[in-house]
Amino acid sequence: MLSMLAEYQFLRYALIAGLLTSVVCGIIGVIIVEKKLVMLTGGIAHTAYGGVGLGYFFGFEPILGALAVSVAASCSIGAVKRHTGSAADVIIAMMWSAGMAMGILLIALMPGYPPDLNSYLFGNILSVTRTELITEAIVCAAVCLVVFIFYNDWKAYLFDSEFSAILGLRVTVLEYTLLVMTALTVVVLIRTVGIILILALLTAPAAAASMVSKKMSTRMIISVVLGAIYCTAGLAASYAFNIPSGAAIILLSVAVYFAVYAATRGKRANMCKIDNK
Amino acid sequence: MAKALEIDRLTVSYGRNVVLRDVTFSVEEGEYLGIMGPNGGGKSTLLKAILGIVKPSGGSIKIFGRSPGEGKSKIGYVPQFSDTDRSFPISVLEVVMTALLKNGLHPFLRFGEKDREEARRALAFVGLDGFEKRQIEELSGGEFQRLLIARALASKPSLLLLDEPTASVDAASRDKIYSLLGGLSKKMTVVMVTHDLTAVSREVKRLACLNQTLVYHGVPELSRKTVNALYGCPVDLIAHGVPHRVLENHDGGGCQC
Repeated sequence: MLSMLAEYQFLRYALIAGLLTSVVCGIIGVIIVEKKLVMLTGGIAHTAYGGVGLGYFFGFEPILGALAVSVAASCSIGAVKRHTGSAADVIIAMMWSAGMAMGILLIALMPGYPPDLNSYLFGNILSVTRTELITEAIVCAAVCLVVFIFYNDWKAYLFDSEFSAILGLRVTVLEYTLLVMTALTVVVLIRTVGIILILALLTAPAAAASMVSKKMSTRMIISVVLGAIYCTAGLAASYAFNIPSGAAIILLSVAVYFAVYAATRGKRANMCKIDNK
Repeated sequence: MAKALEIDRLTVSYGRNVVLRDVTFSVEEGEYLGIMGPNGGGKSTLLKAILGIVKPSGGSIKIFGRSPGEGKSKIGYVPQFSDTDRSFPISVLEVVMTALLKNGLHPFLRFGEKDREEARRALAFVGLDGFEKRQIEELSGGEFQRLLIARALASKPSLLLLDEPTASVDAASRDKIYSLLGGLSKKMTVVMVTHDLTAVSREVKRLACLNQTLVYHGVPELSRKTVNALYGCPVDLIAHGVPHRVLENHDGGGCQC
């Protein structure tokens, strides 16, 4: 495999893309799992498909369309959630489908042969381009910096945003920043595992990490490492057996989650017993 | 004495639904006030209006003579137990230190020894010394409730607002919390929303009863009329676990049902 990496540029790109993905995924994954924003993230991801359609229809880079539409979608979901409170999941569900529908429609209206959309839906880490790689690196750096610099603010906001708001912490700024970061993460993940498979890669490492550590920063590190292992192993499997990379990564991450679940089950049951005493 | 809290003809509605109507009362500095009322009677809404989270549709609120926006920095808030995520990965000491994150954002902040010392003092005050390194999911209900009080104290309040601080704890923890609050009420103004009539009879110095409007405000003695206005029927009282003594002491009639 190493000699292959030296030989083929697309493999090197794929590996770098996988590692960048696992960094954003690990950090944002832990946050969205804790803040219970998983469905919102699913909504944002699927809405991004509308952006891909826009890109093809108007002839610009589809991933930029996905970026713009997912940022817009996340901010509007945030605004709706702020003002209505409970009805947010209905809005998320509608945007989820409407985004997909818009993408399908725009691509159908496109003159000429329809493009191959499988790589957007299911990801194809082996076809990552240099531009995409640079975009991913920038997003990755931005997310890491924002989380690291305001780490204590994030922690306070995530634990009890109402209390922090009363103290005057700028929770609205944090909330929208989180939504934008989620949208950016989604865009990075589209190349790796595709729109449809994003949720598992965001949640599986974070959920596995939450079973082995009770500290937020440790959870983030564990889930980054897990993500890196999944992406690398999935990529290797994809190359070796000529199977779709996105599917390989997802199945591996979900399998590991259940393995960790089974392995820690006895331990957690014991902890409960002690609590009850 | 100065007023810690002045509420004047406060009306709050969610859409067409009026939750509080024309509520007027004030709290002296150093007072220990209990607020009672049925579910949906507007107790939590009143606290949220005082904290500036809910905008009133009429009337005014003054905290130490200032508007909720300006005055809320003087408030220490202890939210309802169930509003907080008890499985969140955060340690006891870290929870208390979130109370030090005031106004704005705090880039590159690392808590110093002084901050830690302050947080430890608040923990020691509520009897949680030695718990600081624990994760919150390892705490019992009573310990967690006291942690929420410690967090509120770390923000150095002059007015402590508590929303049902004994709702989900056992009797021993409840007594601990009441003795804590009793001590605190000598140093600051304490306003507590509660369902617990034992608290009303034993602990608080003044009582306000809310059922959309202010049904009663004064010394903590409940007349049958007030309780009926609050809860409707005496059968309901039994369901709420009210000790008979509270009523019997007052009008001798008691609640025999």
